[in-house]
Amino acid sequence: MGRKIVITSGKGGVGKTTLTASLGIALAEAGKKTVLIDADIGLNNLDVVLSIENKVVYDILDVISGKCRLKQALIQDVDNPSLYVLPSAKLSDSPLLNAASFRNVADALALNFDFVIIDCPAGIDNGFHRAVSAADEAIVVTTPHISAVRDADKVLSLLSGYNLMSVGIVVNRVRGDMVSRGEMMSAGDIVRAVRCEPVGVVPEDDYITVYSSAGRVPFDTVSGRAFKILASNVINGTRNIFDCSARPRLSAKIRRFLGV
Amino acid sequence: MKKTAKIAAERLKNVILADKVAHPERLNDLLKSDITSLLEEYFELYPQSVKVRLQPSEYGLDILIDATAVRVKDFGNFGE
Ligand SMILES: Nc1ncnc2c1ncn2[C@@H]1O[C@H](COP(=O)(O)OP(=O)(O)O)[C@@H](O)[C@H]1O
Ligand SMILES: [Mg+2]
Repeated sequence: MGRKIVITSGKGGVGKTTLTASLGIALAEAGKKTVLIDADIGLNNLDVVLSIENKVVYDILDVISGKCRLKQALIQDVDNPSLYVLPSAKLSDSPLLNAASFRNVADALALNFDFVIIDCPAGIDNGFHRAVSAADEAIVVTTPHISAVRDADKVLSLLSGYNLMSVGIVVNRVRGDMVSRGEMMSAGDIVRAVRCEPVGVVPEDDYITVYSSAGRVPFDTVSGRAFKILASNVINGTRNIFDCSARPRLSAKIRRFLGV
Repeated sequence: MKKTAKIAAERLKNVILADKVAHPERLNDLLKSDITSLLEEYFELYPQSVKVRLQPSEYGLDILIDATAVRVKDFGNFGE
């Protein structure tokens, strides 16, 4: 039986979808058969982040309503044959999309995959409940900003009402240079404030910004290395934290090449 | 001058602790009624004497319970 992990945050735009995709890639590269469930009906969908949006035929609602079989809706990643995506429904208000049906889908996937990663929508309403109900573990994403951490803390309180085996936090978009100048809270500050175990720290990475519109992020970047460490923490239960203090900027040559 | 990160960390701590006691009425009512019925198993309580207070502390929240009992209930003799 595979592990089912929901990626959640409370606040939108902190990097849930980016983290889901990148963690998925890193897990697949580590040889784990991984499937990503897109439980968010947002702008920056998982399929777009992974550049597979043109391959979407069926989605999770088609699976739940019996229009197609689970296997038919899964999209295999081009670069990583061990990575699959179950696309999100286009309609969010169908009564078929409930916690029980989500859990059934996740359970069915867990029979055939090592990891089922669920990209949770922002907010703490039905969509949150559905996504969290389908998981056994949770990763809460935040950025080093007070408003994001505050929402993460609220989500941590909500999560304590679910029967989860483990809950960890990832601090995303950390700027090592600003932290060392005392201009940005460190991951340590945040972990202390919310009293939650850190599973990863991801630096602010220009590559993510640049590539998010053009296609997927190349793996050998600072954030790529941070995601690799995160994946190994998730797999092995270790708690190695990426050091964000050395932060190479996008080189001028790459900037020119990309026209940015 | 205090570094911005230090100020932010301090503000964050305060905001989070304030959030934790943000809805005290409902939590307090539930807590008070549960604690009252628990204490009533052991004590004859002075009417309306149970008070529950939540207070931010260094490690999270202090839960302060204050109650007055008229007498301890007699459990009889359990023998050895
Ligand atoms: N570590 C990072 N460095 C730079 N940009 C990032 C990073 N993480 C996320 N982003 C950008 O932030 C935006 C929001 O991220 P996204 O994953 O869509 O958030 P969410 O799913 O939580 O709404 C995207 O444009 C994404 O490219
Ligand atoms: Mg998203």
